[in-house]
Amino acid sequence: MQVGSRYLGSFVAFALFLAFIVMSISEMVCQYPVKLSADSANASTWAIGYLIFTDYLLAFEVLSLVLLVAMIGAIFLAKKEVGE
Amino acid sequence: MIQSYLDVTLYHYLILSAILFSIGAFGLMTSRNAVKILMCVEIMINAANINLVAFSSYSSPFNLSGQIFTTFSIAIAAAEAAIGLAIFIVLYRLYGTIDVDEIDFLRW
Repeated sequence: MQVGSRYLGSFVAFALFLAFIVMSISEMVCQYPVKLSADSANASTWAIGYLIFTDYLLAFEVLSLVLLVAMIGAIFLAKKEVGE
Repeated sequence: MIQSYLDVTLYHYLILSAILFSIGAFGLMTSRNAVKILMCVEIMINAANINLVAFSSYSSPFNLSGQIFTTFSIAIAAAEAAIGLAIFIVLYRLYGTIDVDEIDFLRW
């Protein structure tokens, strides 16, 4: 591969990184700790599973259909032809 | 609220996500191997998922919609990876390579 394209890619990626950092630091509203630990009341896998099978059941079933179609499509694309 | 440097704030998640997204973008722009490009796309998807969970937990800590949305997003990413790998298998059979510089039949 060309050396110049790697230099250009690293430059663009670093500029993108600096832009993200500047954008996220410049908003001075988010300086309090985020409660992502498991000791907060609802943030547990139990609660997530309960919500998936109650409120988001339709989306869950549709997602299972999407995964099934993706699996069938992948098998259809990747299988060898009959004559080979 | 007393804040120390050990507290994990939203900044840390955003910076981690920016690092991951930039690594993915760098690999996406510089690599020629199609499998490597697919791995970089997965890294970028993971960065977006980290952002989703962090913002959801920041804006409403007792509402788990963001985490469930991220779960669905991970499943969609898995389906995308499976289809992408199958497409690469077909491309290898047709062209004998998965170098994306060689495969230019979509270029106008």
